Amino acid sequence: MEKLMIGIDLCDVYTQAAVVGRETAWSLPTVICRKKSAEEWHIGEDAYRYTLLGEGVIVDKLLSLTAKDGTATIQGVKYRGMELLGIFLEKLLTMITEECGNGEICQLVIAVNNMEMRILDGLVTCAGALGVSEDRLHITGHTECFVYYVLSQRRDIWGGQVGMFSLSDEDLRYYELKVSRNARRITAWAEYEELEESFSLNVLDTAPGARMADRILCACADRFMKKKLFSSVFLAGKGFAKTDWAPGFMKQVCNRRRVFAEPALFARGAALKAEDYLHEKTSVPFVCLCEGKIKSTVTIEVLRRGVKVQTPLIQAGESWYEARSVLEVILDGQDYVEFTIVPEQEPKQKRLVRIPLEGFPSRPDKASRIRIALGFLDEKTMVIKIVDRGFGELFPRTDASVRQEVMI
Amino acid sequence: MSLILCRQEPVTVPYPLEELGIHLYSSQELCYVIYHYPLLVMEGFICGRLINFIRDELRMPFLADRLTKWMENRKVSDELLFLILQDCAFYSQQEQARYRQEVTALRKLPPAEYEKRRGDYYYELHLYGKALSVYEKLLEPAHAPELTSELKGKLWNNIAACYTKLFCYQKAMHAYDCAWSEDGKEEYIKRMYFLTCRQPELTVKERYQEKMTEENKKIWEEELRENLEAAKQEKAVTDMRQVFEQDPLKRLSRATEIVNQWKLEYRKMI
Repeated sequence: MEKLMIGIDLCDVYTQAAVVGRETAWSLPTVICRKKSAEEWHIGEDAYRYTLLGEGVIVDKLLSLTAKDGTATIQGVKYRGMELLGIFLEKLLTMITEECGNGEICQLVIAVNNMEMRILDGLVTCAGALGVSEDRLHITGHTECFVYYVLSQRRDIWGGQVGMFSLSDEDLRYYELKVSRNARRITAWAEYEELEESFSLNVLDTAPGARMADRILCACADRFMKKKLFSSVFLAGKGFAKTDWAPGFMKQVCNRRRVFAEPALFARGAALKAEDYLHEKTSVPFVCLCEGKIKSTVTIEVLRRGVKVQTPLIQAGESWYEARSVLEVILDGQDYVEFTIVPEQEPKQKRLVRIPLEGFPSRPDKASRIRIALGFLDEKTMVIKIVDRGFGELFPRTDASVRQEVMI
Repeated sequence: MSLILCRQEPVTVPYPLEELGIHLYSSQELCYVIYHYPLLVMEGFICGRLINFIRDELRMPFLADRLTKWMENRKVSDELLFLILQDCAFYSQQEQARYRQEVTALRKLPPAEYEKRRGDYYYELHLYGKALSVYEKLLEPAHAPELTSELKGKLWNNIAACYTKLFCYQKAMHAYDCAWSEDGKEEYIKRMYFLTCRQPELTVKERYQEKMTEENKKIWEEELRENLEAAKQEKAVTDMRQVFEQDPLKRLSRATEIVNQWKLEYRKMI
């Protein structure tokens, strides 16, 4: 059975999907329809078709519905947003696997442009219900998919600065990627700006609308790209499935630059990331700092065989949603735990966070084991939980614990 | 001041340490016991079972091999304890040096004094049965030349204290009798009197009756009364009082817990 590494770009309006090793990409509206006559579900264009025929009831904006924990009532049955999203994903994955010869989903990366905890939790729950375990499911942001896609290309394409415009029904965004090297490692910095000039893709259906859209993009290109050198420029999103509606913009960006248009860029980037999980050693050996990634390294000083060493708990570049760390240490005359937070961008601005172990039992030196667990609520909020583990049967554990949120 | 990184030791079968009534789950706990209970581990602690635990459960095969090799080539010695502390590196070099000095100083004691210290150590750990066996072994004829009358008196006194803790008052009375025969301290007569107060059925020998004058008895009773008053303020007693102030259901459940705890503790003592 073929092992499938799938990347899905899940947006409120449109969803795109790609599979490693396959040229074709799937693109469909993020809508779901339930037939009136039976509990039969259809997604994408089929959903529109059954609705237009009057045979079904459609629900759109599934991500927004999940984010606000909303519900939709169809044929007198109330469905939670998360349930509908789960059915949508099930139908989508079934469609992909059937078209790929019923292969097995080996790794699945879902890219979203809104990394809200409720959406991420909802996706994990949905995937779990579909039999995709947590170790095979990864959720990421668009920016990281952009980085993966670009860095998987030839080196001369990303040697300098890389720019990208992404145009969809939902938004118009400008992305920028810089790769910096130092003696220790290579870091990929990527960020995006959401542009207020976004427009609906329907305007492209008329000539005056297309001209106006072209002018908007020209102004944006002028603003972001003037007097800057780029190794390459990428155009992503459904809006760039065709580029003939924007001759002015194309002329401007193609001027002494290499320009690549890839409408399903985020889905392909997600698929490349899925493939990367299969390799023991990453094929993209960079620290990636972008939306959804932790920008600082968190370490703790511990004694290892009598030598003081800084042990990293969280590395800059890890996805905040997946970043977790657990460490057990023994207190030797210390009634606090101190963490060092070093921002990747400005290492000199490191800071120390000291957490006193209030309420912990008083015991002799080297007779208190504590468990330190770190996790994240969002990109910038780290949660530290320290729990008393006792010291075997010599000093049984107590319920003492400390929980603190730290902004990093 | 520091935090010591814990070695990952997924112990499935812990090592039972009968003397302390506990099980060891990690190399850190093993080092802690060696470091804090030297007199407990200086005799017969290192054995094949412990070495197997170090090899299989703590996953320290090199240390286990070194211990085995040492035991095969030379006799068991304190060096094995030092070797464990050194290999686990849980204690610093200075702490290990201090421990080495402490063990060496204990070894330099006269044999009878060393054994008495071991007995006293067991007593402090509430291991009265073990303490008794050490004291009684010391009083065997083989050790007679090393013992002065004063030391013998102390040993009998300690034996009596152990029996008292184990609620064996008749045996305790006999031990005080022996202690008095060795060094004739009046203190022992007072303790015999206290025993009779605890258990009125006990009788003291004729020769002590004349020492228990009315005046002495009055002083001793006052002392006993003061001690009982002080005992009433002890945390264990106040806790117990609180238990009996609770509603019947809670009281019964807590009392069951306490009795079970006492049973466990008593089993550990003998």
